[in-house]
Amino acid sequence: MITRRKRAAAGWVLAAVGAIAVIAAFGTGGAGATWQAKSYPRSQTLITSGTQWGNVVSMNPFNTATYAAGTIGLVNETLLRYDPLHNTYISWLAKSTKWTGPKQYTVVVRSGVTWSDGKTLKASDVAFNVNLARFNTSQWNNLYQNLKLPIQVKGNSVIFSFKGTPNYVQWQNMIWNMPMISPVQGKTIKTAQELTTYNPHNPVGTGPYKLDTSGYDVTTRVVWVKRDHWWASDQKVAPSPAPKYVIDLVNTSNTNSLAAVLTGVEDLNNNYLPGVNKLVDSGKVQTFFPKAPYMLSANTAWLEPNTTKAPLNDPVFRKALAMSIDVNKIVSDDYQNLVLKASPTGLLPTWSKYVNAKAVKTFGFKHNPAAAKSMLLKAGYKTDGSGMIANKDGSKIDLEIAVPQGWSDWEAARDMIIASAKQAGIRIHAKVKDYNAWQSDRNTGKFDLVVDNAYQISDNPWTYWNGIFHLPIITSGTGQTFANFERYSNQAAWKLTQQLDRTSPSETATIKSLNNSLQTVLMKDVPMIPLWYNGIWAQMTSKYWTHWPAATGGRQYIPAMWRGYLQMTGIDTITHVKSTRQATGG
Amino acid sequence: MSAPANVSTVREGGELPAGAASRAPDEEAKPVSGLRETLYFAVRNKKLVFGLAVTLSMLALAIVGPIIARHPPLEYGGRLSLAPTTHGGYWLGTTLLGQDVFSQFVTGLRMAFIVGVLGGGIAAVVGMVVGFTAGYRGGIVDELLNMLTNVVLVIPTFALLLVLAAYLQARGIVTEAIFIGLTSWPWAARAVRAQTFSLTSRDFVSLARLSGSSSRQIIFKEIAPNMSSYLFMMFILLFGGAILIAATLDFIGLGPSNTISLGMMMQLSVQNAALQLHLWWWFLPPGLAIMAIVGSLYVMNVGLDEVFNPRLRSM
Amino acid sequence: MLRYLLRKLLVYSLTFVVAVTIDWSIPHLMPGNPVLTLMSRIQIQNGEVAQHLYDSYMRSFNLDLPLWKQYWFFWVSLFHGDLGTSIMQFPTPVSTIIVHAMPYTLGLLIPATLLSWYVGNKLGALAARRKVLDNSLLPVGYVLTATPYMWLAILMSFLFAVTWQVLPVGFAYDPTAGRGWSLSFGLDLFRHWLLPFLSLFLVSCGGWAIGMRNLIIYELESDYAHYLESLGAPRKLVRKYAFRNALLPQITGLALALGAVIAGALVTEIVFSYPGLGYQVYRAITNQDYFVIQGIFLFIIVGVLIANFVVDIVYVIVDPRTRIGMQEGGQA
Repeated sequence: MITRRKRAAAGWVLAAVGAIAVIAAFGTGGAGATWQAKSYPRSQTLITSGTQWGNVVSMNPFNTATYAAGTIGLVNETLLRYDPLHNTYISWLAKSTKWTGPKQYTVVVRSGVTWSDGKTLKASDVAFNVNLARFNTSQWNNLYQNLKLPIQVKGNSVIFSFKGTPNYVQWQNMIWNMPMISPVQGKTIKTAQELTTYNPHNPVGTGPYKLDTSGYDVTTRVVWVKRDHWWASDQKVAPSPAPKYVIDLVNTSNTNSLAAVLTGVEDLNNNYLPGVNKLVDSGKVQTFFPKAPYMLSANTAWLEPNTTKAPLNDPVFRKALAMSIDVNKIVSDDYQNLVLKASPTGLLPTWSKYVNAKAVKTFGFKHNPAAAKSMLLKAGYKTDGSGMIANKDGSKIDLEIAVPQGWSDWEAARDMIIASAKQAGIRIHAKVKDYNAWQSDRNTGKFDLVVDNAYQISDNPWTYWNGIFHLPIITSGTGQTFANFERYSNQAAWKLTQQLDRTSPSETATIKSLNNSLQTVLMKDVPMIPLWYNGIWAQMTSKYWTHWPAATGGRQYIPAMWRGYLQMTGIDTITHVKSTRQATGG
Repeated sequence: MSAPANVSTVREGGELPAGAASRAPDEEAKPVSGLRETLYFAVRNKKLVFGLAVTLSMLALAIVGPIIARHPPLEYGGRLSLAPTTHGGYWLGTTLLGQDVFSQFVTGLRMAFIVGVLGGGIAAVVGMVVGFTAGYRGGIVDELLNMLTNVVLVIPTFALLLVLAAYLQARGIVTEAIFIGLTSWPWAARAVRAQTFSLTSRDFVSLARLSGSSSRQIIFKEIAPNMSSYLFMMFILLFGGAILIAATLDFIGLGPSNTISLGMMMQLSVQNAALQLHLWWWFLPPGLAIMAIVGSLYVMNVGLDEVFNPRLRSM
Repeated sequence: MLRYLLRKLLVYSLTFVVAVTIDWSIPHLMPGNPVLTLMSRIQIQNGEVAQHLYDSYMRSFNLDLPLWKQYWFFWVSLFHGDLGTSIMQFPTPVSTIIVHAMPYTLGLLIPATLLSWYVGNKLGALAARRKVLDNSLLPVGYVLTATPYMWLAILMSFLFAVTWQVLPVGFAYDPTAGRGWSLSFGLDLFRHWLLPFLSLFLVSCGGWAIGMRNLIIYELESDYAHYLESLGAPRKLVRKYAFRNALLPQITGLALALGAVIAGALVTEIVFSYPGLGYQVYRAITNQDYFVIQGIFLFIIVGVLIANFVVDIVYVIVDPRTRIGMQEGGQA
């Protein structure tokens, strides 16, 4: 009996071990069992996280929603880079770029750049990549349609001629965002659909790293390994990056991300981690600024009123609403000062040079619920029995506000907005919608108020204005719109936005006056209410790597692996970090 | 994922339905020697008394707590991340965003009882209806109901809730309870079916059938009373199960949207890194409370079993 | 016997069709449009371009077809082993996602379920035998079985990973580990597996122990046990029979338990960010990636059905009484 039981127990243990072995089998070493597996030496490995929600599945740099962090930046590079902190462009794969005529743009391709398959980057490769925009699923297809074809290639130069007035702003934006993929791999793209499904197993690029296929694990991480030669360090354009490996981990929960940062599993984390300010203050974690707001700003969180619905179609009401919201409380309590309060223009700090202080003083708004209420009463709004503001005809006002369910920081902000609007007599109630319903209702105009942040930092406030003023309010068969969710119809403002897009960068006075006019419209008419600036969340630890970007000193780079951020100055973060173990030989 | 609906099943799968299945139902065919005797043994059964005491004190807290709490559970008022203190009524401290944990806790406790009673109740009713009908009628009806039971058992309840969540604008605690009730009855139905099945073949049922009683009369007058204690115990287990399922649903963000619950407290504390920031007062109480309620319900259940079933009293 | 099995098979197939239909309807009943969610993540400044891209994605997901056609195609592709394409992880097939995540979940579920069943039943039988054990083990069992999976997980994570920092949380292995057949990698996997496993194992174990303890006591108080004892059979023998009989319902319980343990695995994987199916489905839920949700649920439905079927067969084999009962029931 006893022996039989023992045997049975042993069987169970074996079964358990077997099950573990099943998982182990998943690792595809293939070289046979060993005692010690090859692992990535920690002192030569930079571990990042915060970009990848869900599995790492795509190496398609054109799918800007899913490509593995580093695909653009570490592997596929861009012609230019953009430094938002100093508002300068950095010549990258292009040695220089220039408007060589009113309708002509010339890119001189840098020489001595090699693809990771050994081939040399040629001007025709650049033309090949721009030609991919001929597919209507390319996000630059509208710009391509304005090009005279074929694109001219002369020696090291690529010359683009435009049919009509170029969209200077969009074109410039494209130049530092369009990834250069290897024509050898890219020639498989033959249809518009294939541009969306393109997914090379081992992408060939010009960047400092290439994919380490043995370490790549869909559910867990992507591993980039340093190339022997990278043009930028060979040509002394950038330092050679110290990390031999860059591992980007998929996002875990806030709690586990924080644990990973604190225990030194991750070196750089780009998630919003509530309460991280406490750990910064106690010196356990580093951020770009050592004190509030801790983070650089990434985008403007705003309150979108449905401007087609009464009373939100009334600019006076919208302005009163804006004045009623206590953003300071949201910033200090909800975000613990990890974000900055937005200017009434909503222009990100990086665009502060476009802010017209005089216009802000005249037309801007400040938190003042009492003034908001009296402004409404003066404009003819009534009060109902409970002392709350009612419509001009005396009917009750009860607005609905929605944020995606489960976004706990936004839910807290929503509750604070409701509470502070009440001070001004504006009645708002929360409507709970899951993300999809929230989004679908936003896009089809079935809402009163939503909190939103659709447009990221860029090289030109045009992207911001375009998001606000875009016309027509696109309503295709599905009744969806992709910009101007507040459905604000202002032809004049839209004309100004388009004009800004078509103004040559040399006409600085026109650009200034256009931006002036647009922010004045925004503050006077309040088609949307800027609330706060979401941060470029970045927490760093110096257990293995130091010399992180910081507000003071020479390393003012963006410490982020996010898609679209490496070609800003994210790559500089990686090329400048130094190992803490270097002295001892790691 | 039929999973949450089965949370109860696992535990009770080994506990009640199984235990009862092997028990000869005729023990109860003769009514236990009177209510007084039952009561006599009830007050002397330590398990029952202990379980009842814990459950009732939690219930008392759920009733009184929200009244004595000084702050609304969702209000962002207090100092941020405050440790438990007697000052300002923050007896269990505050969350990262300055909400009163005590207030959230007692409100969550109240929600747990509502979900338990309502969800467990609905599941018990559906389980009984299906179980009685299947067990009594047998044949094709039994086969069809068995299939229905299987479908509910294997369909992904989370997924259903997902669809529901998108359609129901404000998901309240009642909606959640109804949902849990309508998805967690399968094991109860199976157990009732088995019991009914064996009771149906007994003499007193055949007698009633011969005397021309309708099926419904037979079920309610002859069969159900003979397994009333069993049914009551089943309800208790469904009650506890519903609380656990609700906690799971709330934890993955499919809970009620207009209030706070114990599962949501756990979810929010994890989301807001309460572990790393050592805000233990935020994530410890909700789990402890669920453990106390459900655990004491289970203990009570065994106690009841011993009271109803004289043979077990020797233990 | 064969007729009985065939009938069972028919019932299971019907159940499968109904369950799968419900599963299919999930993404199609949802308000809103999953493609828009994908679109919102791609920064597009031009409306026309956005429209083209939108149309292209709609075609990729067959969402531009009438519903009945979509349903038909769903079954057709299902029989080709195609579970559709993920929206958020476009263009990854859902089956790929499942294949990558499955080993982690099975590696948790199978040992946790079987070991807890085995250990729980042993402990329960022990408890039924000795008063001292009964009084000490039973309360522990109740506490464990009443603990919400995620809370135990949170607690263990707080103690072992945050406070004492002896075990890792997050992922299935250390981010710097090279994967392959090696002892060090196996140990690494084990360290990451231990906490999620324990939280699943402990909760389930408590349930089984209590169940077994109660069943044995029932059995010991039953007529045949008393009869055996009155015949002078040794107590040990009586207990052996009681244990044997009590084991039968516990086998049925095992199949029923599967669904519950899957739910437990889901929240456990969430707490520990363990990259199994539960974590995948949770990510899919939060990202409204309906085709992934649909695919993983389908996988679970099939798993639960198969497990139930197997247990049905095992039960018939192990317990001859059921065989007779079922046949009688079938003839009635």
